[in-house]
Amino acid sequence: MNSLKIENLQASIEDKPILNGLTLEIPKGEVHAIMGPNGSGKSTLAKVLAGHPDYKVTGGTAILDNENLIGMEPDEISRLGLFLAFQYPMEVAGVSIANFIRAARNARLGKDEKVKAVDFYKELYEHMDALGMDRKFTSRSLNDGFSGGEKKRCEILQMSMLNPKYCILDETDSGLDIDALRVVSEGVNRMRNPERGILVITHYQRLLDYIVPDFVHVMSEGKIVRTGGKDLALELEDRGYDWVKQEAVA
Amino acid sequence: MSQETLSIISSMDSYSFKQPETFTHFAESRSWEPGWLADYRKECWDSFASLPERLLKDETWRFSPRARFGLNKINGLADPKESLIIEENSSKDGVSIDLFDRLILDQPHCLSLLPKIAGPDLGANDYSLLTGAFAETGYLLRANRSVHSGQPIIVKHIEPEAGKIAFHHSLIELEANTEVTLVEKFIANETNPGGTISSLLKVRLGDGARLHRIVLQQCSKSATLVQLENFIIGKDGYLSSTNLHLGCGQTRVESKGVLNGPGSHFEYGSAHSGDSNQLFDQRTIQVHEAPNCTSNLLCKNVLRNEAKSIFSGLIKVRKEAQHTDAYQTNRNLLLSSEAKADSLPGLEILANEVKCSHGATTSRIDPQELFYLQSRGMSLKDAEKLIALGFLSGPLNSVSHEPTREWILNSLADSLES
Amino acid sequence: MINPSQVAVDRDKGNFHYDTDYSFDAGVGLSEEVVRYISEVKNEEPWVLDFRLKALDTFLKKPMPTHWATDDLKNINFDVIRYYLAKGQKPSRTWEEVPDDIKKTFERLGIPEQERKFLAGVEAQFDSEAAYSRMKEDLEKEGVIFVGSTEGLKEYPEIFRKWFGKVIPTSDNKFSALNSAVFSGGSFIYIPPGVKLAQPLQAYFRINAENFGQFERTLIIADEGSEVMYMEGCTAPKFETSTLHSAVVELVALKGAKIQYITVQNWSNNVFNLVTKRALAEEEAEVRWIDCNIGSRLTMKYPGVILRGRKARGEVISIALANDGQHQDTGAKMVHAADETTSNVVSKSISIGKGRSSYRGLVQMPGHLKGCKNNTECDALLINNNSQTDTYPAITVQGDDNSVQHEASVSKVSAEQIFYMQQRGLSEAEAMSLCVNGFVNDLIREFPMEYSVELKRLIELEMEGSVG
Repeated sequence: MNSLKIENLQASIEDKPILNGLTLEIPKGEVHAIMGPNGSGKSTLAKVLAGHPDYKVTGGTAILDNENLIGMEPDEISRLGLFLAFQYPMEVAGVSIANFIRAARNARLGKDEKVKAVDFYKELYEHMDALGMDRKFTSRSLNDGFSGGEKKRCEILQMSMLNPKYCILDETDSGLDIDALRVVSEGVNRMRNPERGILVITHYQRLLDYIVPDFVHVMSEGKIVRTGGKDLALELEDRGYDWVKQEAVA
Repeated sequence: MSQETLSIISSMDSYSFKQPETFTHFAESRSWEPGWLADYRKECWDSFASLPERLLKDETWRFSPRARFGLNKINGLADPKESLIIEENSSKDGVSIDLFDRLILDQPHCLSLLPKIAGPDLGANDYSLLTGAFAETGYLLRANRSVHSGQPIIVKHIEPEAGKIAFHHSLIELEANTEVTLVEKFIANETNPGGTISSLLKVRLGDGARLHRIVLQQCSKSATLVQLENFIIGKDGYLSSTNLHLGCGQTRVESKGVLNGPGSHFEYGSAHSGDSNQLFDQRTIQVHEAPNCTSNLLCKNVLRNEAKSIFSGLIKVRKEAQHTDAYQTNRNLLLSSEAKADSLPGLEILANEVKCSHGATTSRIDPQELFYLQSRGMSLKDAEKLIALGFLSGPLNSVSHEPTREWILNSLADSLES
Repeated sequence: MINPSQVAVDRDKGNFHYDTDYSFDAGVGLSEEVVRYISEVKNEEPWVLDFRLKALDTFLKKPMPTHWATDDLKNINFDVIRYYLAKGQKPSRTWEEVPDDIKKTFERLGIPEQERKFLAGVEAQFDSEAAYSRMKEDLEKEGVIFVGSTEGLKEYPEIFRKWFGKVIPTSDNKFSALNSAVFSGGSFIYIPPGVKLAQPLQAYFRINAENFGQFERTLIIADEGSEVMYMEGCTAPKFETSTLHSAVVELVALKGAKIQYITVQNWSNNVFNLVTKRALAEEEAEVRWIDCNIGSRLTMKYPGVILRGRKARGEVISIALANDGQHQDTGAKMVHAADETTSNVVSKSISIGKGRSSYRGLVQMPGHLKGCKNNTECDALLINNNSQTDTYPAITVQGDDNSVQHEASVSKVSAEQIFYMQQRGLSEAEAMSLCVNGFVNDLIREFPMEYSVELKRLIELEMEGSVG
C-alpha cells in the first residue's frame, strides 16, 4: 500500500530483452540505491517505470501504492506521484522554466483551477535559493544552453516543486563537479521524509557519500543480483562488479 | 562565292543540332557499335529533338544568362583521341579505368549501365541528351574487389579548339567496400582556346564503397564547360566531390547526390574564383531517399570585376528518409561593385525526424580584416588575395588524400597570384 | 490591456453564418459587365472604370503562375464566384445604424467591444463593402483620413490618386490584376506630417456569402515623420465550396514615417487567400509587416518593401501555421534601391498533420548601392509524419559594399522532448502545444498585447487533436 513495488518486471526494446524479471520494493520513508555496470539495465528500469513508449513491458507489475503503472501514459504516472530526474534532461527552446513548472503544477489541479501566480513564485524562489540558483533562471528556456550542473539543479528544482511520492534519480551525479554534487545531494536530502520513497540509480559509489541510502541493490543483466546495506557500495568500489556477477552465476 | 566560304558554311551546317541529318550522319559513322548503344543514342537524340523551346520562365535557369550556353556557335565535334586522357599507370590491382572508345571495341557490355542511370536533370537536359547521343569518349572506372586505392587515379579532359565541342560520357561503378580516389583535371587549349566541353558523369556506389573525387578546372577564359553528374550512393557508402573552378568563360555545373541506401554520406564542396566576366552557374540537389543518411554541401565563390555566380541548391528529403542530417551552405565574397551573386538555397522536407539547415551569405571583405593585414605590412592587393585564399580553401580542406589536398590548394594559391 | 478571458477566441470563431439579403449583387462569374456594374453602383469617375477594364484585360491575358506555384491554383473556378455583394455603399458611423444581421455578426466577433477598449478607429467590411467605419473625432481634427476605397478615390483624389496602383502595378501578378478589376472595400488612410497615432486603426474583413470573392483594396500613406499602426483581422464561415480572397495592399511611408501593418488571419479551410502586399519606404522611413497566417486552403502572400530612400528600413515578421489540408505559401520581398537601407526577415512556420508550409523570399541589392544589409532567418517546425515544409529563397547581391545573410532550419518536436514533459505530468497535447508556443514565442511578442493573447490561444486550439 505505501510502497513502490516492482515484481518480476520484464521489458524489451526492439525485441531485445533488457529487464529479465526484476523484483524490488521501495517503501515510503526509505532511500534505495541501485548500482550496476554499464548495460545492466539501470536506466531502462527508470524509463520503464516512467512509461517510456519505446520500451515494451513483456511481464510483471509495478504497483505505486495500489495502482499498477504498467500500460499507463507517462503523464498519468507522473500525476500519480512518480518523478524521474533524467540522466540527460531534454532542452525545450522558448519555454521558460517558470512557465513549464507552472504548467506541470496546473496539470495536477482540476480543470478550471490554476495555481496563484504570487504563491507560485514565492515557493519557486525559496527552492531556487536553497539550490543556489540565480532567480534570473526562471525566464531562461528550459535546459536550453544549460551546463551539466545547471541541468541537474533544474531537475531537482522541478522535483521539489512537484512534490512527488516517489523519486527516481537516474545517474544524477554524471557530469557534476564536487560542488554541484554537494548542492544537488543536499536538495535530495531535504526531500527525504517518511512520506516519500527515493530510488537513486548510479554507477559510482561517490554519490552515495552524499545521499546515504538505507539499502543498496546490485543490478546485472536486467535483474537485482544482490542486496545489502550502505556498506555494499563500498565493497563494490573495492572489488568491482565482476565479483557480484560471478557470485550471481554461482 | 569562294570555295573557302562554301566549305565553312557546309562545316557549320553539318553541326547544327537543329537538323536531323546531323545525327543521322553521325550514327552512320558509328554503325559498327552494338545495337543497344545505337538505340540509346537514337533515344537521346529523339528526346533532344522533342525538347520544348527554351522557356524564359524556366525555374532551372533562373538568373542565368542562358544564351551564353547556346549551341549555335558550335561548328563540329572535337577529335575524341585528343579530348580525354587517362594518366598512365592509373589501373591497379582491383581497380580498372579505361576509355569509353576502347571499351566499345573490346568489352562493350561494361558500358551497359550507361543508359540505365539518368543524368542529373537539373535544367541542362539539352547537353545531357546530346552527350548521350554524340559521345565518342569518356572513361569507365570500376573497382570490383575490396580494395583501398591510396594513390589517386588521374583523368584529363582537354578543352577543344574554338568552335568545337567535346562530349564526354563517363561512368564510375564501385562495388561493395571498395575505396578509390579520382582526380579529374580540365585543361586549357593553349593554341586555339575557346572550345566547349560537355561532360556527363554517372556514378553508382555499392554498399560501403567510398569515392573521393577531386575536380580541378583550369580551362581558358573563353571556354565553355557544362559539367553534369549524378551520384547514386548505396548503403553506408561515402562520396566526396571536391571542385575547384578557376577557368572557363562560362561554367554550368549540375550535381545530384542521391542517398539511396541507409547510412550513406554525401560530401560536396566547390570553390570558384571568378574574374573578368566569368560566369559560374551551379545547380545542386541532395536527395535523401533512405533513412539515417547525412549530406553536407559547401559552395564558395570569390568574384572580381564583372564576374557572376549563381548558386541554386535544394535539399530534398523524402518521406521515408527519417533521421536525415543535411546541410547546405553558400558563401559569396564580392570584390568589386559589378560582381554579382545570385543565391537560391532551397529545402523540401517531407520526413519529420530531420535536422536540415541551409545558410547563404554574400558580403564584401570585412574592412577591419583588411586593415589588420595591411597593418602587418601587406599591400591591399596581397591582403585581398590572402583573404580570398583562406575563404576558398574551406571547401578544399575536406580532401583527405594529403598530397592531393596540397596540390589543389597550391593550384588555388598560384591562380590568385597570377 | 484587456483581460484574456474576455476575448472570446475560438478556432471556430468565424464559423457561423447569418442569412443576409443583399441589395446589390453583380451575379455569378466575371465579365466586362460585372466590372461595369461594380463601377456604376459605386458611381465612379470614368478614369476608375477605365483602370478596372484595363485590369480585367490584363487578368485574362496573364497565365496562372503554376510554373513555380502550386497546381492547386488551377482549382479556382472564376466562373462560379460572385464578385460583388453589398447591402449599401455607405458605411454607418454608429453601430446602431448597421443593419441587424450584419451587426450581429460583428458583435459575435467582438469588434465593437475591441473598438471601445483600444482602437483609434475601426472599419468593418462585410463581403464587398464596409458596413461600419468610424474614427475618433480628435484624429479627424488632426487631418487623419480613414475611409473606404470608394470614398477615398471620390472625396480625396488629390491625395490617393497619386499613389493608387503605383506601389503594386496592375500587371504585377494575375491576382493583383483581378483585384484591380473588381476591387471594393478596404481602407484608404492618410496620416498628415508629424502626426503619431497612439492607438491602432483596425479593419475587419468578413466573408459571409458562399462562393464569394472578396477583393478589398487598401492604401496607406504616412506623410513625413508620421506614425501609424494598422491591424487587420479576417474570418469566413466554413462552406463546402471554395471562397476567394484576393486583396491588394499598398503602403507609402514618406520621409521618416513609420508604418506597422499587422495581420491576424484566421480563414476557414475553404478560402483561397492570394494577397499582394507591398510598401514603399522613403528616406529614413520604416515599414514593418507583422503577419500571422492561420487557416485557409491556400495562402500565397509575400509582403514586400521597396527601400527607395537612404537609410530606409523594412521588416517582415511572420508566423504561419499549416494544418491538415492547408498550404501556407508565404514569404517576403526586400528590394533595396537606396544606400544604407536595411531589411530584416524572420519567418517561422509550423506544419501539422498533412499541412504544408513554404517560404519564398526575394532579396535584391544592385551594385551601385553602398552599405545595404539584409538578414533573413526562417525556421520550420514539423509536428507529424505527413507534414511538409519547403524553403525557396532567391537572393541577388551585387557590389562590394553590401551584405546579405540568410539562415534556414528545419526541426521537429522530438519524441524524447514530449516524454520529458509528460514525465512532469503534462498530457501529450499540452506538451506539444507548449513546444510550439516556445518555438514562436519570440515572434508573438512582436504583436500588440491584445493580439498576442489571442494568437497564443489560436495556436493552442490548432494543436488540439494534432497528436496521436
